[in-house]
Amino acid sequence: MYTRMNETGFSQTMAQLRPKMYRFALALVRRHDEAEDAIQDVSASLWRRWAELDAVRSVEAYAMSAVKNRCLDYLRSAPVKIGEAIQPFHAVHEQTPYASVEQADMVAWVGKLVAALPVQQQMLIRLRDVEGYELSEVAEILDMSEGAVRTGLSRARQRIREKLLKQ
Amino acid sequence: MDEQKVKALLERYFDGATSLAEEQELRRLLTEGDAPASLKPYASLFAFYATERAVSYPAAARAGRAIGVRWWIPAALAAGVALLITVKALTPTHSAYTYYVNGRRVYDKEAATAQAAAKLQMLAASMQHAKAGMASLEKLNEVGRYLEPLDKVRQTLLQVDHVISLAPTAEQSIH
Repeated sequence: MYTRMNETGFSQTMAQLRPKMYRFALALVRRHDEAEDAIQDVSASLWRRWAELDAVRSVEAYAMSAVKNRCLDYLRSAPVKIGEAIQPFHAVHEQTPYASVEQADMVAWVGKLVAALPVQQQMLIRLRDVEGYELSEVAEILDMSEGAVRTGLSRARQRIREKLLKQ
Repeated sequence: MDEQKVKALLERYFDGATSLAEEQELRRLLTEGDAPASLKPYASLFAFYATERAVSYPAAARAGRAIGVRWWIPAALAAGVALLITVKALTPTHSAYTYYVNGRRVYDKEAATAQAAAKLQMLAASMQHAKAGMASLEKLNEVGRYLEPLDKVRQTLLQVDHVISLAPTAEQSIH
């Protein structure tokens, strides 16, 4: 049953989750409009299941998992090119933490290395190293065992390291 | 910077063995201050993570989303109610008013009256043209009475004018 209380709770939760959902979606689909669509769809789905989600399990894990599924569906229908850059306009940064142009270039280069990883490894890096989820949470979002997350994460990081040191 | 400590943490990080707290410590150590050359690539890696985490949801999109779920349910309800009212208003109640305009059944009294009045105005305008025609005919009659057939036409048109003047008004024809 729709209540004001539920609506408020939903709005607050979405306000907290939306930036994470957006970053995760944008990293996968590389297009702002597609990331937007994904969030829209997942928000509608969350609202429909709001009452049961509230009581049963982690809403955040459900939301991120739904974003992942929605984005993978998109990638299956319109795969992005490996290493394709995220549309510059949409990479909105609230701060520019670079000390120099050289550092900015290095960070951009690292971004390309990460974007060139297989999608599964990109998701592991994004969820753990960018969003800071616990391994158990990453496992829940990606529907993997915690051990598989640890192994996959290690492989992804090692792969980045190799390329970093080859420069 | 304790370079050895950072390197040890980095080894554990690449093995997937660090905790979130240790990774935060690594990020802090690598991104604060000037990292030695051997650690610069890793500093860039952790700077990339920090940069990505700072990507915000675009303001324009935020505004759009604010409308999203909060308003669509009441908006949909309002649209539904408006539709019901419209359907109810347009549904004819056959026992009340039934009119025929141009042979078509019309239930809206005001619409039927307006349409009938418009038709009668068009007829009246046509009659003005007819009267102008009659004036011309009278002038012709002054020229010569030999145009007797035209006079008969004039008489006929005068009779038509008379009939029209006796015709009921729009309101009368409707009721």
